[in-house]
Amino acid sequence: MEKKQITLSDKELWIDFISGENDAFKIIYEKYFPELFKYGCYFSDDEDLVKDCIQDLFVNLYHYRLKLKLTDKIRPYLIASFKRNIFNKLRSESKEKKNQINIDSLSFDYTFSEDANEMEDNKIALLQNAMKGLTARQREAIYLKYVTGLNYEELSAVMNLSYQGSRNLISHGMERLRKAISNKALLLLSLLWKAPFLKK
Amino acid sequence: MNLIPTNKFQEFIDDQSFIDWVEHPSVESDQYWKQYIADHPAEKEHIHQAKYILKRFQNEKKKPNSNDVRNVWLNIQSKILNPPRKISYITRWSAAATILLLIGIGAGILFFAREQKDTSANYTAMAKMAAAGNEVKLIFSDHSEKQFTAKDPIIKYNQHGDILVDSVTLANELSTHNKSDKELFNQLVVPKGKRSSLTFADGTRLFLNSGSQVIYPVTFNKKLREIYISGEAYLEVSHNAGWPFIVKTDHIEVKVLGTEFNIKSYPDDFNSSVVLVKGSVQAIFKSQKVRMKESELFTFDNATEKTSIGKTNVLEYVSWKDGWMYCTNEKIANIATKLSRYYDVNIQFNDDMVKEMTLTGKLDLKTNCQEILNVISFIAPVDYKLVGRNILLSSKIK
Repeated sequence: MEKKQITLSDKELWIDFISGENDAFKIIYEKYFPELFKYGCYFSDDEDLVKDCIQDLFVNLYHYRLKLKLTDKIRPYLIASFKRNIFNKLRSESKEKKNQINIDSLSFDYTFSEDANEMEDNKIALLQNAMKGLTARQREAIYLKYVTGLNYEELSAVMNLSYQGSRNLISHGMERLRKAISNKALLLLSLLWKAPFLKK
Repeated sequence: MNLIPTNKFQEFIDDQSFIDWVEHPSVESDQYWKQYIADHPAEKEHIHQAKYILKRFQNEKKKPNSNDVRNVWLNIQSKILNPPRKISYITRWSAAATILLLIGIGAGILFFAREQKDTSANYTAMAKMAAAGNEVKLIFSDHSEKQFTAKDPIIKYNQHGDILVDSVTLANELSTHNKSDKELFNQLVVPKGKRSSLTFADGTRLFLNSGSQVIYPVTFNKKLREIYISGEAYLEVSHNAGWPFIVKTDHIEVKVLGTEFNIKSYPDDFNSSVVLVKGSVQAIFKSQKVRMKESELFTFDNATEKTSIGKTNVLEYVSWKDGWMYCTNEKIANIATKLSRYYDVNIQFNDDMVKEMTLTGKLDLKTNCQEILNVISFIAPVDYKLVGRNILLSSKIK
């Protein structure tokens, strides 16, 4: 068998995969592992749980591959299935979450990370703070759109929303982030407030 | 109700070229946005805000390490490689497919076997004697028959002359016939909708596709190994330079010294062809010789006797053996011919346009015919109607 190149489109990979080619299966796995892993870690701090869910996702995918449909939307399909695995696992592992029946009520702890050369800038702190004030759904949508890189269509598929619904979610969330760094008075105030610590 | 914010910031964060610029700035994009800000000073603040926020998404601290990627993959492998039998079967045959020589569609190549012409048996007459049935059957030299109800029985002759079917000993003809000096033949007949495989005592293995038959001597003679095939077969010939192997069909002959190939010569196909996957063979037809290289397809039109030779995708010709139909811009009419043999169905078109449509991809022949039709009607603008064994394909385009 020829070795499949990584340059195959998702659709071609999928055709090969559901036709039973193990090479294509491995390429899909390697391509999506990093983004699934990172995304999963915002639902739970337990990295082993996240890895288990990725494992289950691919084992199931393999077992059902002959029944899978032709699709060129591998990415939202994988992400949505993976999220469902996480939801089920979280629910089965914790007593308090047993009653959580809605996948849309999962927490999502994404926030901006600080970068070493921006220590003196308090904008990042303001953004982090604003991010905390968003709903988990807004954070997740923003993460999927701007970090994972989904388009609105893919986002709607993962978030179980209409196209307009996912646009609204992004739009409102991003507007709040913008407002956090657009208030000049607040910027100045927090700069003053932060100043004594910086002097140390 | 919250209204959707409408401002320039919202436009920038939705603008893919803006996002691209923030994520991967280039000299050109820097230049473009610098100019844009100069031209639209009022939007400057929103641009800076959008750029600042979008930039922050780029440094994500969570990262899997490469050990995670490998370990999880190993776990997945160990979970799925408690293999369902079907899967190991597929893998085994894909591996074998790397070393095949394949001979294809329909009729007229002669592989160096002219001198044997006189001695050869009248295969065509013998082939016609075998009545068509619904099951795979083995016809012995005394015209007795044995039918197999399995969809793909595996038949094997061992070195002692025993015939094993799905590993169970069926008969031994050598003991009763070896005193006769007349050449005795057996026949394996595979109807539409069935497949079979046959291993000869010399180790040569043959896979027969639907609607095919093979006639072979009870024992190969000392000078050469010769068999006759009508339909399509994939062969792995055991190597023996001093003991040539000849495959005859109504139109073509192939002489090999030990290699693997697929031969296809259906009486109702318009042409014959050979695809060489590995090795080198010589094709002779109408006193012309053709030397083929790997991955080449040789075709012979049965009616006009025109020939052609050139590189091809060998997978399209051998994948049937692994239970796939591999198509590259294959006309639906051709796909239908193959499907009708494989599943023993009758496919008709009420629109010539559908015949000319082409498909690229793989069809899983291990599923049922309806499943395949679903896939075809999903990817092509084609509707199908299925009544019993009859299928009518029509165009969705009006």
